[in-house]
Amino acid sequence: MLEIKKLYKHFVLSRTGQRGLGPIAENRQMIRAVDGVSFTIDQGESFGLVGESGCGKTTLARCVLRLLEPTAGQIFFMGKDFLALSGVELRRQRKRIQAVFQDPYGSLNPRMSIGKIVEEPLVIHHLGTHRERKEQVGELLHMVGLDDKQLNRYPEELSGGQRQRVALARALVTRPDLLVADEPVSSLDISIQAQIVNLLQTLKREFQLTLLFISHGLPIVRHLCDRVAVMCQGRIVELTKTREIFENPLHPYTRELLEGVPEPDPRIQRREADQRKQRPPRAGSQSLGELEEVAKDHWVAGGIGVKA
Amino acid sequence: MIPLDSNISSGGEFLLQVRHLRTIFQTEQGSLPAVDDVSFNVRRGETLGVVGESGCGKSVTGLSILRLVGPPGKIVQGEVLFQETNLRELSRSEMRKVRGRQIAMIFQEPMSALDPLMKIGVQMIEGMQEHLGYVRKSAWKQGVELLQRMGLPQAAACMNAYPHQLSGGMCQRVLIAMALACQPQLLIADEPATALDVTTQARILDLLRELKSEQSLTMLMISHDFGVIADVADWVAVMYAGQVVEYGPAEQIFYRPSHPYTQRLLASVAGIYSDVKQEYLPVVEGTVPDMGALPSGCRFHPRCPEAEADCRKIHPELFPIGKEGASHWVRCLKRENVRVKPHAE
Repeated sequence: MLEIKKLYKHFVLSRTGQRGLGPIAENRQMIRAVDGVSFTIDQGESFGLVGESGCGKTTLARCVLRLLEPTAGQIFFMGKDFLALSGVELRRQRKRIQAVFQDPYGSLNPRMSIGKIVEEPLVIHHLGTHRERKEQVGELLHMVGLDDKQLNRYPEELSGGQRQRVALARALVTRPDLLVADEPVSSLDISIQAQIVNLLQTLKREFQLTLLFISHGLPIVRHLCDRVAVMCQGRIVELTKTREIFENPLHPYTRELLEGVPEPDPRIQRREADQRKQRPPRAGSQSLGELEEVAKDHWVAGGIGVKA
Repeated sequence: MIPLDSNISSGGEFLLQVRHLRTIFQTEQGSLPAVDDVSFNVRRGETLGVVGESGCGKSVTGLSILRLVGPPGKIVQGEVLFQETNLRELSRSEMRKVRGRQIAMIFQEPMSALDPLMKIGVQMIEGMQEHLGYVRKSAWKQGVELLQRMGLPQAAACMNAYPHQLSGGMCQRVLIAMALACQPQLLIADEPATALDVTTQARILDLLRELKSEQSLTMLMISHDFGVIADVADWVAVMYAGQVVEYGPAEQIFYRPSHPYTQRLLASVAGIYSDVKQEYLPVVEGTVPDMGALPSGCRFHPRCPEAEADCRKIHPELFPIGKEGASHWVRCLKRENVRVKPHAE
């Protein structure tokens, strides 16, 4: 359904930007935010993209949404070359790809009522009559767990969790095929995070969504995703089924990510801390070579785990 | 009202005792009790983890200890006993000698806690010059050593850098170094690893744990993340809507939680980490109440699946449960059945 081939996005730094990096960071002229990434997402699949801040995962998402133009590479959506589209045709396809972002405060227009916010995509894409649109909006709000009382309220009157529900309703009102969710829960409180994860689970089924789920934390991905790609410095270092990532992580960076997660269990934490102490510190750079298939559907970069 | 008296400890000396602390914020909605009757102890060499969701009052508790709450906030009641001295009774200049020297604090956002216009080194040595009377040269030398101990590469170069030239993880190490520069007895760490990446976070926690075991540093760790608390805390206080709802040794809280809020919150967090792929996570329904419109009775009752008629009317106190001397305290009417019976005199 979505195929990404050798995607690159490089940012050239301005002179002031270079000066800002100063004496400690090395002086670079170009940031290779996304550096040759390829993967496919099947219809109905939930695909997790995991990595730390600055690894390029958000840039990649923005390229998929065509909010940024990639430097090189190809994106195919439903078999069509998505990057070649323009004008009316691009608009038509965009309706089928929607997004939810991390910051529910910045992503809702503070001067529009909740009803207007959720209705806007329908207006932009000329969908339905006035009455049909109102019905759709009501139905969507109901599905994300909000009621009609919220219709005439403004974003500032809602909590973070409620805002993220509004953002979800807005994304789904055009009945998209692909939902790009960029860290949709990381700015929320723990009890609210679990609520939104459950909601995503329900919506995924109701709308038969294909999901590109971006997160810096592995644990939540485990719940929602069928396959996971781990990104590091603009490249994918490991890509496999969710189960496999947790049970048999091969790339050292994946392992580090998994071990770094503080678990709510004092005994496990103590054990992991001891393990970290015994291991020599990580040697500067990661092996970031080409992905190779080391087992069925298990791809790892840099020749790690390849049987001799 | 029950003071958390000595039966809570099994020996060992308390470095910090907070008693019935109440901090209110005067707003248009009236006076909001951000911290409401909070009591706990921190023993020398141990770490108390204060955990709760945003708005539960955990940060204000930390700030109240150091009397750093500014208007419209005000500490109105309670005692903060630090080595037997009530910090609330000290004069301003006496308090200045406590801050940074006896009790140091590190904050959540390392980047914004540093002055962007001052070199790291200049900020590092300020405290040492003020509190320890060091001259610039020796303070600077001490600063370089401290940064090295925190595991910063090129410590000398870092002293001459400005905050924006360092990464978030480096800034947090600088702040920890700065906090430890005057060898404080107590370190209050408010979400010290939250804004950082997972791998960096793990290293900062390793560092804090090391300091704890090597220098027997006493810490008050504030975090919303049960994982972080599990990592460093010996004792845990769970806060909800301005109050401590459960308090006890970390093992008790994590493996035998008693309060319905702790139980469900832990289940929803643990669900995320569990090996079994459940389709739906267990959740705590609803949201944290607005401080201006606190529910009657138990503050958790609207979200509590165990709530009964009494929970809507009676505000429970914090009382000890389990075996006598188990040091496990809970604020819930439904746990009266396991309450420690007072001795018949």
